[in-house]
Amino acid sequence: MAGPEDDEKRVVRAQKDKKFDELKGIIKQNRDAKSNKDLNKLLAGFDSLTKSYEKSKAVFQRQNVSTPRFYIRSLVEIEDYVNKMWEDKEAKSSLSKNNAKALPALRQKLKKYVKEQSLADLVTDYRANPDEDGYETPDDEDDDDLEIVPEAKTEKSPGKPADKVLDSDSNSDSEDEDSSNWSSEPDTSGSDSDEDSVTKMEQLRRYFLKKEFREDSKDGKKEGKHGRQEDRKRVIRVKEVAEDDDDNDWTPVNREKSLVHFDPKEEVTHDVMIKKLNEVMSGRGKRTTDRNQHVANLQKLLEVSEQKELGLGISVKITFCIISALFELNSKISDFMDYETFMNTLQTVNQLLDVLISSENVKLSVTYAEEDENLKDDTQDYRVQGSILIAVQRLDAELAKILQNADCHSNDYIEKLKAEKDMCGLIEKAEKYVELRNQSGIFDKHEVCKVYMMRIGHIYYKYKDQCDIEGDVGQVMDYLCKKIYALDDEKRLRQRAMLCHVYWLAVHDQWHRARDLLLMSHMQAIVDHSDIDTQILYNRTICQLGLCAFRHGFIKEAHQGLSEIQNTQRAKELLAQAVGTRQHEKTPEQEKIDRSRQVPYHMHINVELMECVYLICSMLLEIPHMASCEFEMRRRMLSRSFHYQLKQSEKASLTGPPENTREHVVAASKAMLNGDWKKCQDYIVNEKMNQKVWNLFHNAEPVKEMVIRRIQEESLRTYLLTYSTVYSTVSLKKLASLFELTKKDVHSIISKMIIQEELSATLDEPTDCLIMHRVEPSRLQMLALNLSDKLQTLSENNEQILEPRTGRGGYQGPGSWFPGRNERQGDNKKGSGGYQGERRGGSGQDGKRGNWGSQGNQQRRHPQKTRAF
Amino acid sequence: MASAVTITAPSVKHILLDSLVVMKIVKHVDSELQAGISEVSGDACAGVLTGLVFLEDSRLEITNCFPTVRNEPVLDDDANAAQVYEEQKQQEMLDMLRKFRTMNIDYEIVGFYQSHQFGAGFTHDLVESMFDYQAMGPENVVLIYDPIKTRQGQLSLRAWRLSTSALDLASKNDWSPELVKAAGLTYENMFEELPIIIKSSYLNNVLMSELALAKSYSPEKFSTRNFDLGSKKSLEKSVRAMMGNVDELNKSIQSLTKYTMDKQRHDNMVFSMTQKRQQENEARIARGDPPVPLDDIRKLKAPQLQTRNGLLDELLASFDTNALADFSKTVTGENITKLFIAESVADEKVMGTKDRTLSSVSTR
Repeated sequence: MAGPEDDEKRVVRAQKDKKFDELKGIIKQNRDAKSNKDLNKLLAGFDSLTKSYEKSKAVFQRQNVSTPRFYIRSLVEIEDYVNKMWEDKEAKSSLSKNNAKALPALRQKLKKYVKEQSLADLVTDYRANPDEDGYETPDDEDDDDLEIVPEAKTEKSPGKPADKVLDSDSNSDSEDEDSSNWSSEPDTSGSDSDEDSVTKMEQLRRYFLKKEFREDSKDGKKEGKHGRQEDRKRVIRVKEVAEDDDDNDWTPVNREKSLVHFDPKEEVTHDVMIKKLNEVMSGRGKRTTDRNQHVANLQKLLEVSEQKELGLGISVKITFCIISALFELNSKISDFMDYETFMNTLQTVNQLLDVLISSENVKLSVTYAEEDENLKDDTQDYRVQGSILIAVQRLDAELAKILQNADCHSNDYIEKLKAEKDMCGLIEKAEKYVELRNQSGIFDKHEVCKVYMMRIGHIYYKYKDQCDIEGDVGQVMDYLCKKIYALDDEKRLRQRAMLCHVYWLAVHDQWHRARDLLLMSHMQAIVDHSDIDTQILYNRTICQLGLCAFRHGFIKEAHQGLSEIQNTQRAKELLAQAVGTRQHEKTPEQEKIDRSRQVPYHMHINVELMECVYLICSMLLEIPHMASCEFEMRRRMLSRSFHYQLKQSEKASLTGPPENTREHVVAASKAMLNGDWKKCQDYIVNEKMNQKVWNLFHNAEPVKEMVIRRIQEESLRTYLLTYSTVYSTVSLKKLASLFELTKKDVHSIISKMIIQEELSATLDEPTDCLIMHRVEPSRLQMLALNLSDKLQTLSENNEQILEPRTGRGGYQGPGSWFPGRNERQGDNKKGSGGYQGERRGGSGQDGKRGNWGSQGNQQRRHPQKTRAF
Repeated sequence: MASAVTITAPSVKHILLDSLVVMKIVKHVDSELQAGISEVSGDACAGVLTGLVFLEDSRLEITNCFPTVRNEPVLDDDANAAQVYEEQKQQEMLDMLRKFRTMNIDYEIVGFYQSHQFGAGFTHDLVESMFDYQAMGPENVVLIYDPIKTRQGQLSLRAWRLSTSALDLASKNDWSPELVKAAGLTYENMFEELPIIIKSSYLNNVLMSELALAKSYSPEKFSTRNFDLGSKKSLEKSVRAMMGNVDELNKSIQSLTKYTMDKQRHDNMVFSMTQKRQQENEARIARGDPPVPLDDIRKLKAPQLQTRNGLLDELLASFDTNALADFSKTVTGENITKLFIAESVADEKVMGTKDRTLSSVSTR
């Protein structure tokens, strides 16, 4: 039996079994009552029996189980017993008063119940064909046996312990009996004692054998309403006809009648085949149709058609039907495909694609209507309705689902990931096919775009040497994206292709191209309005771009790119690498949707790395900034999460040696704040960090060098800003030796600081000294400034008291004045703070000076995303 | 306690302070400040003043004082221990008074003293103790001693008492905005300051004049020490304290704004409901039905000011800020004067204008 079948079974058993056990327990009680002639108890038992049956009905219905036979039997038994009692005047008179009362009540109820529930047919059925006597007089039988029998009928559960203790003698023995039992059926065409076919059913059959072995006559049971055995037999028959005993993957277990049976006398022509196919296909999607059987039927048809050489048209048609049937094995769209099924489907699609590529006269297209199909006339082109591209696409989606649902830390995931390579091959083939046949006009433009997009989707996140494409991957990427830019008239795919392209470029360190492309696309402005998947892709791209900028030493840009995601505290969520835990208010459906959006593990961006890079960027920017405005009470923060980390570590009563990357960066920041660049460097670049961060870059060494260099520079800046008050003059030589920089570098850094008015000093060329100007306000002056600030707010608040009513919205006075003041302050600071432009951009004002992207828009996107995502 | 107190207006207009008291206070506070005890315990130095009231001159004479025991840090959070300790303290005070009596010293308590930096330490606790003392005797006052200013060479002792209206509110222990407004209380008239006259004994005066005449001490008078600005730290401190107070004020102002708004809304609601009810009642009376009482409307919960002590904290913060500002003002004023004097005194060649600004800015 195939895997999925087993799974299904197991699930079923849990519920059904419970119900069955419940019913059986009651039946047993009833039997006891009968034997004790306790009619009162029997009446009560009957009531509870009908009640619990009513309850379990829904379950049975769901499981496609009709009224269990044992239930009918118990009804009949009770009826018989009651009738017997009724007839037996003597016994009746000997009943106790209570029992005498219960008897007519029970009789009445029973009659009514049978009538009401329209069980009359079943009861008469049963009466016509009753179980052996053993059932009628249960006292003689072991109760356990009794219970097994009905179960077996309805469930055929293979795992019963009893069937293991079977000997082969009884096996063959009862096989004969089997066949004799079934021989009475009208359309039996073959004997099922065929050894080959039997082996497949061995497991299952043994079960029956055991039961048959124990009991004498089983005709009645065998003809149980479910007739599953018959089905099995038919399947076997089908297999015989097809002479295909190997392919038992799709052994249908169903009570549906096999449709795939050609009259041996009749010749199988196109028309017969098509008719048959339509017949089979008519069952598609119906609840009663077993999907596995459906697939098997189609496969059978394919084999027959190939055998009879009915031509490619038919086989393509049938193959396509098989593919769609395979996709439909899962009824729910959210469920992921079984891996084996997936591989099977992949192969089938692959084969079909091969056929399509090799034979030019077969055209598979969605543009054909069903009437236009040409399946038999081999003088013309075969025309088949359908789209292989959509199948490929669907397959791709299924692969993503499979990967989403696999445990990403297990070997299983790696196993499944291997399919990704096959998938790439398939998509490539599909692309080839498209390019081969694009002239014939059988493709929808959209479909074609999708194929390119799929290809891009499998390339964009891989580093050059990871994808096995001959030639220059960059060119391939370029080519694919350009195709989409040219073909797509909906914006979505174009946007996605663009983002993927940017992502790819960012991964491959082509920073300027990536940045320019992103800026040209104006994605920052429109991403708010795009779908969530695109937003996720955008977030991923931005992060990757940030990392790229970092590798190139563009700290500011990197910080900007990463802060968008990192500052939200839910980086993982925004990158669709984890489902948010905080939103309890989410409905299960939403959560499911969220889950379905998750990026498969192998495409994840390393969040820890990202955070570390972000913190390092923050450190390099923030520490000099902090040093420069040490005395300002209301600090303007560049990076909130960085400050949060710093504060956390300050709060800790005992700071041990850093352990994770975050602590390393924090410790480094503290060292830098003290002007100790050596220590800072040691914290950032060491064994631990190598392992966790630096080795994850493909060009680790240059990046490390860059970082160290930046640390030296920023440490120098911090040092100068912090200790400028202590010095009246500093020799550049001293500074250069202190920070192990060349004198030229020191000179340029200091010059820059002086130009940006961060440092009030002059460089004295002849003595090679930096002469400090003492113009920094003293602490007292700082405090006084702060106080005046506070007093200003106080006076504003005071004014509010005077006119409280208008204070809420209509009050235009201070309200409109306030932002103006802020603006002024910002303008005042413009010159002094090197990063002000960025800060202002970040705080949501118009980021005219934003380096690569209008930050304002990006910032505004977050609240929306919170809602959407 | 509240209702039992009858508030009598104090008849005292000024205070005669014995120099002994001044010396004792300075000694007590400075020795503790030196030892840094007040920083450790977080409690101000305090003591009890004794003396007598001269009603005919409407003056309070403070003739002696003694320090009260400092709160020992309660190590184990035992409420019982704290109580025992409190009793002990009380006992000690009574003991001291008894000793005063046997030694023929004035033993009537006329107030207490506390030391506060910049003379700004008006807290809720202080108001409470002031109220207690003033309830005991209407003439009682508190002397606030500023050790910092004294160190800078100026003795700073100020006598305060709660004004009658503030006393009234304190007795009710209700500082809601309405009552404060009705009492017309502002930070300026919450406390009354009494002029202090320090009286030295004749012998003392003689000694002082002797000292002034003595040659060896005269150069000291004109030493450069007098030009020492030396106020940077304390100014910083006072500005910091001011900032804290302003923050406090800001907070309470915000809650006050909210309160006023809520109050207004509440009043409007009550008003409209009452009106509606009245109309309804008129209609009912016209019909002959009994009117519906207005109780349920009156029971509607009025909004509460979201601060602990109503407006008291606000008043105190304002008062403190005022004191701090006064301090800063005088100090800076003096500093500027000193600078000018220094400029004129010093040699023009050495002291250029540039250096003046320099010294004002960076006296680290």
